[in-house]
Order: sequence, then structure tokens, then C-alpha cells
Amino acid sequence: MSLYSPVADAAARTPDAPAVHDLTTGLTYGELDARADTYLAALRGRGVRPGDRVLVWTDKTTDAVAVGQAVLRCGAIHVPLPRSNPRERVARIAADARPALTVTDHGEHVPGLLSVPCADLYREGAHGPHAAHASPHPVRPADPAYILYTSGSTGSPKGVCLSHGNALAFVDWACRELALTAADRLANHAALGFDLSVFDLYAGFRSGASVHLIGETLAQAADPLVGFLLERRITVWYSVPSVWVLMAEYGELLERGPGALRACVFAGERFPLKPLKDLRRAWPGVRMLNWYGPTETNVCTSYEVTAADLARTGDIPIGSPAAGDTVTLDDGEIVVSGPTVMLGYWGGTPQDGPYRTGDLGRYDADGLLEYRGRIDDMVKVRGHRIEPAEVSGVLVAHASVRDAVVVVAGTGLDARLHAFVVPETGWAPEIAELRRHCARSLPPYMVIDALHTVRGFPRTANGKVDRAALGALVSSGVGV
Amino acid sequence: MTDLDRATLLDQLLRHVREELATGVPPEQITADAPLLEMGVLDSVRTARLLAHIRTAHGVRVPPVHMTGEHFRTLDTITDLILLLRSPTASL
Repeated sequence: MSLYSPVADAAARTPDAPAVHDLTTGLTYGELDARADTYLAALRGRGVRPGDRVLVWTDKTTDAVAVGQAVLRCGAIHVPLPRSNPRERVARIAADARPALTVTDHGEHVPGLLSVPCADLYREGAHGPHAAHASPHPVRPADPAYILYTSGSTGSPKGVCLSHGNALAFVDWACRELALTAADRLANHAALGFDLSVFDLYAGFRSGASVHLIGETLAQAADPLVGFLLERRITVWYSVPSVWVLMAEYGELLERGPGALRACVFAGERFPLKPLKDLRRAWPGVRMLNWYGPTETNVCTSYEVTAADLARTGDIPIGSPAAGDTVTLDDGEIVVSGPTVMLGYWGGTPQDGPYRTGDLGRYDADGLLEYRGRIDDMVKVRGHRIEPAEVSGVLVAHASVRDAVVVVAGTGLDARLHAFVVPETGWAPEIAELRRHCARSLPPYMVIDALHTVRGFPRTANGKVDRAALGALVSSGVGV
Repeated sequence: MTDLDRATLLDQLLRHVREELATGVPPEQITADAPLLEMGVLDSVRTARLLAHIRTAHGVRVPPVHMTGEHFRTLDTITDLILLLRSPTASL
């Protein structure tokens, strides 16, 4: 069993069933399978070998999905990069992943990177010498399938490398947990470079269900998203809680929904209690699941929200171990071992034994895990994982900045990235200029929201920057 | 739809984004052809609020199929989209 088998299997079983739709087009399983084979022939024609990395830097389209399938069929490693990643960040990721090929669907180009437009690649595959009898490369469960790049504390993005077996362990568990069938219609809200999309695509394909891709602009638009949920008769929707909160607040979700929805699943950040209770109360017939797990382990715990949670006064738990994993606490830190734990960081040493998440947990009275924050500086802004050091590393590369510390202030929809900056002598850093500077190197969600120019940073007794004191300055609204 | 109507609509949108959306971008940099997504003007919260404004002030609910980077690139393109959606011949 490989991560490319589900599409091939569904194509053999139900070739005419809808597989994947974007805003403008849709492919049946038969069509997706055929397109994946055409792209596979083209990749082989381009000399892509098993184990090679292929960057897929595109909008979220049915063709991007077909290319991803082809990369897996080639035995190569899929590196999905959302279109909104700026050139410089793609260049830094490429320097780490050293791809054999980059597939794009836009005019942007990273110097030194061998890239090909999706449409050209398709033509090559359709007319090239490898076109006939494109049989997939056999893979073993421990072979790497994809690399997801997340924010890195050393200042550069780091690649979380997962195997076919890692992904399938989660996918099979998720299919059972949600009792997915070919009649289901899954929304794909998360970017393809974000691990939530692994559920949408692969649990969808594994069940022979249809997957409905939500492009980057639509993904930001609460009211049209509710329209999408209803028009596409979505039955299962997985996204970060802030998307549910925004749809409720700005899209009349509770009044207009749930349509055909039978399960709403969320992960990536805490779900504020009040809107969660509103959702539960409004839709008693819809299952609600709170999943937890860093990209390094995908989902490793799960909690099902029920009517009993309406009496809660504190956050819901992240629940109990899932996907065959063992989840324990070591000195308060959540530690995960089991089939979903990554192979390792790309270019690093293989992950050997349990993975220490850096997340803090504790058990509630029922023995369920609760999330208690981070051991380090990593933050979440609307579900996006951000290492402040990566942002401050970009800031200090600007001529006007001598030193910088980045903290997050506020929670949920109000979370904002604040930069504290010590200027170079004779320079006065400007927010607009520093935001442009960030946007050239970082994805949109890592661009700073506010700038505070300071002469120095508060320090703790042992000389480290006192990040808590900086956070407190922001929340107290004191000018600094 | 006359040019004057278009100019008025664009002007109202410019004012809304500059004064109401708390973008963190200096108002003079928010122009009709400023790239909104690249400048980080439209994140999920501000997009939600802008769409709510378009709905209440201009009577247009943007359907999912029109939520594309092309239509939401600049305030110019958003103006064109609103005019398109308001026109009786709009094919939705």
C-alpha cells in the first residue's frame, strides 16, 4: 500500500465518480488517474528519479493534485508549496530540498531553479516517448512521500519529511473514525503545504469520496465560504477553528447551515469556548471533533465534542491517543510515538524513537489530555505555526534594523505579530517598509502587524530577552 | 453604469479600506491599483469585514466562484467585480 494507491484503486472501482474539483473544473477518478499517469510520463521524461524531490509551487487546482499524485507514483518526494510563498522563501526551501524539478502555474521564477509550467509538463507527458504504459514505481511504507515546510527557529524553514506509511496510518484511522464513504464530499480548506490537507485529499481518495478544493483567496473569505459549504453540499469539513469562528461571525454560518454537513473537524489552535458552544447548540446532529498533533506527527489525539460540553467553563481537551500512536507526558511535555511520527527533518538526522512535541499538556479529571501551551517561543496565529526567530531573522536583514524580537499578542482572531526593533544609528524603521521587506521573504501570515521602535529589550535575571515583558507592554497598550 | 458611478464606488471602497479596516498600512499607500494581497491588506479578518461592507453598503454578496486572486488583486478589480455582480445581465 502506498499513498498513490487510493486514487488508482478508486479509479479501478468507480472511474466515473467525481474525485476532485476546484472552482472551475472537476476530474473523475478515471480522469485524475489518467492525468497523474500523463504527468508521471513527463516527470520520467525529465529524468526525475525515485527519491528525488519535486517542488509543486502552484495555486490549488485539480492539476496541482494530479502532479502531486504523479510525483508519488514516480517514487519521488512531493514538496507542495502554496502559490503565496514569495520567491525568496521558495529559494530558501529549494536550497534545503535540492529539487530535481519545480512545477509552477504562474510566471514567477526562482533563479537557478529548474522549473516547468504545469501545462508544458502535461503536453510533454501526452506526446513524449514515455506516454504509454506508465506504471508506478513500487514503494515501501518507510519510503518518504512528502516534505512539508514549516517555520524554523534557526531562521530558515524546516522540512518535515513523512513516509507513505506515516500518512496512511493517519488516513486509515481518520476514514474509520469518520466512517467516510464514497458518498462523502470533503472540503479542502487548508493550503496543500499544510498538514490538514493530508486528511482532505487522502482520506477523501481512500474512501472514493469527492474533494472540493478551496483556493487561497476563497479560503480567506468567510461569507463566500459558507456559500461554498452549501452549494457543494459538503459533508465533512476540516479546518482551523478561526475559520469556523469567522464563518459564524461574518457569514451567518449557524443560520444558513449546516446543509449536508455531518462532521466538522478542527485542529491547529484552541477553539474559543463560546463560539464552539454556539456551534454545538445550533447543530446537534453534526459530529464535532477536536484533533491535535504537530506536523511532525500529524494527528495524534482526538476529542469528540458532545452536548455534555455545553456545561464546560474551560477549554475542551485534545483528548486521547489516535491513529495508533502512544501519547505520554514527560515532565509536562507531550511526547508521541507510533506509526504517524515523521521520518525526520529533511537533511537532518532520522527521527529515532518518540517525538517530543514542545507542547505542554496535562490530564483532566477524566484522564483526557489538555493542551497547556508551548515549552519554547513558537506561536500560532490563526492556526499557522510561526517561529518568531524566523521573522526576526528576516527583520535584522533590513538596513534600518540592528536587532529585533517578535512576539504575538492577542489570541484567536485578534492574534497579531508585534516586532520590537532596535534601529541602526541614524535610521528610523517604518512599518510599511518593514512589512514590504517581510513580504518579500515570508508567507503572508508571517508578515508583522505592528512595529515598536525601542532602544533595547527588557532582560530576565539570567540575561535573556524577556519576551513576556514585551508581550505585556503590547497588551497594556503602553507606548514603548 | 457610467464612469461617474464607477468613480464614486471606487472612492467609497478606498475610504472604507483606508479608514475602517485597520490595515496597518499608511492610507496614502492604499491606492486603486495597490496590490492588496501582496501588501497584506486582505487577511482573513479584513477580507471578511470588507465583504460584509460590500454586502451592506453595495447590496452585493460575492459568490464563491468569484473569490479569486484576479478579482481581489486591487480595489480597481474589486470595483469591477461589484459592477459586474450588480449588472442585471451578470451571468452567475
